Amino acid sequence: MFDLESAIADWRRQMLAAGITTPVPLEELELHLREEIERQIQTGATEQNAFEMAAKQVGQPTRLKAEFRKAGGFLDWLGEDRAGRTHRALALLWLAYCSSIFFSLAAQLAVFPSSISIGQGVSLVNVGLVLVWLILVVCLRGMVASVRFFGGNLKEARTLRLLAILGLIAFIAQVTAFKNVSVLAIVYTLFNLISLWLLHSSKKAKPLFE
Amino acid sequence: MIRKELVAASAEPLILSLLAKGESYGYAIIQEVKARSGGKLQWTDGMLYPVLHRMERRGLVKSRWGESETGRKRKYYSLKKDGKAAMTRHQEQWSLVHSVLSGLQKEQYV
Repeated sequence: MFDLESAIADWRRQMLAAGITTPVPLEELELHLREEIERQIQTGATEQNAFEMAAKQVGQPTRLKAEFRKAGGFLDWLGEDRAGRTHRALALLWLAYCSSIFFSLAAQLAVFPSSISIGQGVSLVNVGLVLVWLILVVCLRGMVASVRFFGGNLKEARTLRLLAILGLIAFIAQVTAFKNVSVLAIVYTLFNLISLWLLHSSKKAKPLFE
Repeated sequence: MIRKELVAASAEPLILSLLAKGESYGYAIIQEVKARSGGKLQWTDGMLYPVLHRMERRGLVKSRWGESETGRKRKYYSLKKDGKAAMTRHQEQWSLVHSVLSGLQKEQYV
């Protein structure tokens, strides 16, 4: 004997097993299923037929899960297309990268101008204050470029590429001059290399704001 | 039957246009689309919800839980200001495609 409620409970279990979460969106899907069952019954279908047709109409759990995943999640605010999301995430990382150097240098310049360091074991007392100001300007330009790139100005990919190359040159200069490689310098260098690679295809990204 | 690519592309403008008439819920939206297309525009019902949820996250629509006149729980969706702007954009674009197609079609019969 067909039991509609236990069939619906089975259907819910299948949805949960496929990764459809409760209460959202499972509750909404179940309400839809129940409305369709009711409509089918009103047109003369048996409870079993009505359930089977309604479940088919709602869709396969795995396909539904895939659609919900495609519809986005925590990265949705970065845009709809994958290339755009990648580049906007990269723009945010560049913003963090440039602003961390900018604010750390600016703070040191303001508070301890005599003991300023660029954080890779290199004291800037040896390198000169002109270079500090130059780095600050470059970082500021990097921050502006990141924000504009995030907003869809793909021309700024060129600026970020240039900054990545500058970062690589600075790394090579540091290794050559000071024979000193910090973990942070290696992380920055890897980031520069990955950026160069990812920014290469920036034209594929759709702008976030049209 | 209409190709699934076209069905997918038309989902957002159709939902926005339906919601412009007033708030509605998933099941009613599907039924109205089916009725208006004479059953030719067939969505797999469950596929509507990912679209609605994405539109809600993008700030085009908002939702609220309510009850039908029979006491059944329902999630009602309504259009937000950005949704109205998006609907206008969609309608302009679809009208353009339609007018180009119609123009070409007329030329074929001249």
